[in-house]
Amino acid sequence: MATPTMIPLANLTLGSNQSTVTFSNISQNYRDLVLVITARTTLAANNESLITQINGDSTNANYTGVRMLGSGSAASSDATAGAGGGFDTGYMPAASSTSGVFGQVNLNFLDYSTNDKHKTILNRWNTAGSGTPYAAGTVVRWASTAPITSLKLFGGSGGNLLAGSTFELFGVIA
Amino acid sequence: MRLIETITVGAGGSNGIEFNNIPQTYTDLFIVHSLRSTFAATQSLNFIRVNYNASSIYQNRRIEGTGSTTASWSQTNDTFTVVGVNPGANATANTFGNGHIYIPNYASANYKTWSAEGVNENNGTAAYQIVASCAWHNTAAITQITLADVNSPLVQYSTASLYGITRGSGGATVA
Repeated sequence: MATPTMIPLANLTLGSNQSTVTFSNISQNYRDLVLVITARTTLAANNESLITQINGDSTNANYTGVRMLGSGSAASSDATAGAGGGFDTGYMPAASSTSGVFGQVNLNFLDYSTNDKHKTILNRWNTAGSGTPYAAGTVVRWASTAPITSLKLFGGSGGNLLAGSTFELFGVIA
Repeated sequence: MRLIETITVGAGGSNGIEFNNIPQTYTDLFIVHSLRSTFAATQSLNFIRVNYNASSIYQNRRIEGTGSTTASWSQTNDTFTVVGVNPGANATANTFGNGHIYIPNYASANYKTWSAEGVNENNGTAAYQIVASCAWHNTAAITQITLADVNSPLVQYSTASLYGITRGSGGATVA
């Protein structure tokens, strides 16, 4: 039998609306982390930015990135800065968006357990079928050499994460 | 991540690769593919359809780069979603495209979404990279997936592998 290399570490499906989801005391036994999210928020808008904060670091200046974005009619690219005490992980459908649609996020935290480099995060997020559909790819640098031990997710404009949103954390063996 | 099935197209080509009777025991699905089309062009798009469902309930947004241009495309209420691009019959010989598709919560009772990336580097003047955002507005569990070329059959040696991913339990706090 092949050796599994993508190890499930934690999982949460929200049974009720919540303001934050936090993974703490993340095992340091892996090379990379993968976080798969399907999310929607309660904000009275079409969409809301989902914010990811690393190790409780709320300094926006510590998160920088580059993004490419496709709306279906226009393609764009821009440099991104930290916002809301973390980095923008994607525009999730919110209360005014198409009913029943959740956004999808796939995050890769490369070399997360090392202490010798700033951390690189690859992000693919998509909101097809929602009121504001996008396909997007982002790369983010967290300007810290500290190993990643916690991840906190929350709505960037004060909306709660909607019941039914899912968060799956995996460790990848080198 | 566990391999469920690998399918390789045999001699004579195939109209598509079909994963049938997908086990419902995983949390997410992941497909990796390497495809080439018989379409008489340099490239051709590939797509997936699920559960043999051809209703006009598939949504898609994608961004595309060719090495010289960028574009964004959309599908609204379509009968499939584009997930990548294949070299066609006029592309450099023996080159195949590559791509992967991630489908979270494929057995849930919610609408389904998936993300996809595909490339078709072929040593030509243009090669495509696509990042796609897809949705299927149906609450049924996904039990079958068809991966195919939009225009023509796939050539021999095209291959795709389907993996199942199982989530962990607990480990997160809410507030």
